[in-house]
Amino acid sequence: MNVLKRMWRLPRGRIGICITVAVVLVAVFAPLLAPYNPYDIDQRDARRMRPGRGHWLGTDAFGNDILSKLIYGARVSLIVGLCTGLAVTVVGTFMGILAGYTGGWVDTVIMRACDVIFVVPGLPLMILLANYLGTKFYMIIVIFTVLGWAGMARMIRSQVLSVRSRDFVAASRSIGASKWHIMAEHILVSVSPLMIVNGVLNAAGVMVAEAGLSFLGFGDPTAISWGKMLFEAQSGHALLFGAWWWVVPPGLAIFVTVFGFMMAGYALEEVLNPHIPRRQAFSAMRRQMRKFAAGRGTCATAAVAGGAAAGTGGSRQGGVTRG
Amino acid sequence: MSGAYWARRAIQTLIILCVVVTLNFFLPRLLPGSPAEHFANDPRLSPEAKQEVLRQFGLDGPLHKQFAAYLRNLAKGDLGISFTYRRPVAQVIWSRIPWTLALTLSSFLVSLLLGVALGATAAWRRGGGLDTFLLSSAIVVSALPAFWIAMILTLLLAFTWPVFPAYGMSDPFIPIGWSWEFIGSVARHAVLPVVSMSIGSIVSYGILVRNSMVEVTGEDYVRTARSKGLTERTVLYRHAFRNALLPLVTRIGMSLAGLIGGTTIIETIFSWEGMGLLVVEASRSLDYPLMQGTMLIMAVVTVLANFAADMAYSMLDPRVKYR
Repeated sequence: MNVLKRMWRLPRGRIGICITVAVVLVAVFAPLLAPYNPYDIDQRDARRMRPGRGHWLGTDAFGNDILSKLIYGARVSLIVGLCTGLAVTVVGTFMGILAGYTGGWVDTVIMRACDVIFVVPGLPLMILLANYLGTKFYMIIVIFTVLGWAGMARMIRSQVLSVRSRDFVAASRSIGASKWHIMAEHILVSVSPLMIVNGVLNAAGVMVAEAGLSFLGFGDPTAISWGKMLFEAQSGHALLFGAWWWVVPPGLAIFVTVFGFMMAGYALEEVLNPHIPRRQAFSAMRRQMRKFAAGRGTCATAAVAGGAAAGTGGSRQGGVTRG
Repeated sequence: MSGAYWARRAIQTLIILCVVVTLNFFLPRLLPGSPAEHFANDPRLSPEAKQEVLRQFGLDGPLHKQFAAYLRNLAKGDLGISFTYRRPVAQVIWSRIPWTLALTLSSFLVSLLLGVALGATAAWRRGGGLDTFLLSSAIVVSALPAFWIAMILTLLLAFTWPVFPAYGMSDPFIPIGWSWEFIGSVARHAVLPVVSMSIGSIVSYGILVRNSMVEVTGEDYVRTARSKGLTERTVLYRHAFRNALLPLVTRIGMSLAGLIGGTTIIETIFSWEGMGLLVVEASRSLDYPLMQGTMLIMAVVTVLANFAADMAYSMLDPRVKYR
């Protein structure tokens, strides 16, 4: 609670919290908020209607209300983003702590595995895996996690390396604490700010990546998502008909949500690391930018951006990172 | 740059290549929905025909024998026969590479030039209008899916104001060849994809150069240069700028890695028949040899580009040691 209160005091924290809460509320209360049920084929209306009374954002090629699809679409983005963010955080932190604290061959194996994940082209591999594993949304989460944990593990590992030689760890070791106890009690606590902040930023990146995958037609076929709305706009020749209302709303929805998560992440960083001087307060943002500049955003950014920046994306990181 | 560093990096690269080749072989065979299963479950095939198909594509017999055959073929440059094109995979890939390179190389050059100019100017007037613009656009660009930018650009510049063609690679009425007419047509078709790809990477190059310039201007040798009484211009361009470009080498290496694999979404939007679209097509039509072949080529190019970038960096900056 305290953390939230302190985030609220920062402008970007306030923006982040407002947007995130709003999107979560929209997703949870979608059936109440949406004027129509986009999954119900009985509620279909005339096709390709322009925005106007009855359909504020018009209807799509099947006569579904765009606004309702937009509201329901928040669910997929949030579920995929949050679940993947959580899974990547858990797996990446575990691997990073294990590699950094244990060292030796365990470290070598884990880090070489990361290297392999970094070199394979993100988005193509996602497509390939989606093809083999299927595209139910939990499979998408598995795929993003498999490709996304490496970036997290590397970051956590480097933090662990600097923590493991500190006095409190040595003290704990000297009174006979076991390796697992130290890793779970001391190391985990000291890397947790980094872990939480990057988990949030990762969730943001994954949402962009999910949109990219759905846009290529490799999303969950039974669920409405923002990426899939753009896919339908593209395959339904929305641009040819000048149907901007098929294209603009889902894109803005993705942007606002991801932006909100990023702002929340940066504010969290500042709150959780109060000992960093004001000057460095933007370190998460700067690190993210440096990563972005280095062409490896989160798995997600990497994959999708990959597409953008000659494979921004990529390597990811999520590369779907722009990929 | 020492011989030992080179040797260790080379061995590491070789190991990663081996892992990539091995994964590329086993992944499709071990995951559910493997090619063998795909054929075996097709009720239209008689058992004999099934056996024959499996034999033709090298999918019968024990795994280790298949793997040996795969490696033998790979050594000969034989990537198998594509199901859909009924031509050797290597040949299909080879015909696609120039088209992808045309997009990625132009985008690479545009973003490198503009990005460096933008970043250097922003760093020079730190905190100024351009600097603020660059930093905020980095956040906006990483929250916006690149394909959405592409769609909006197409909507505006191809349909609302038809300045550029919306998709395709050249005018179908112009015969393919090395005529000026044809090259001009290809260039016109390439404008929108290249611009959509470059927006993200211009900003990302810009941020990289800006941060690195800001960092470098705090270094001792820059202060020394200033105290020698050199003009601000000489200090910036002779002393700061050259060193600030070092991180750019790594970034360029990563762009080279994305030259072949990084354009999946953009190529799909603009029906640009390059490598990225090939991956999507192969996945949609379950063309396993083609999928494996494209993934392999992309991964190998990435690994080699990373290696080359590291080597170039260690030659330019002798402080780099193998960690």
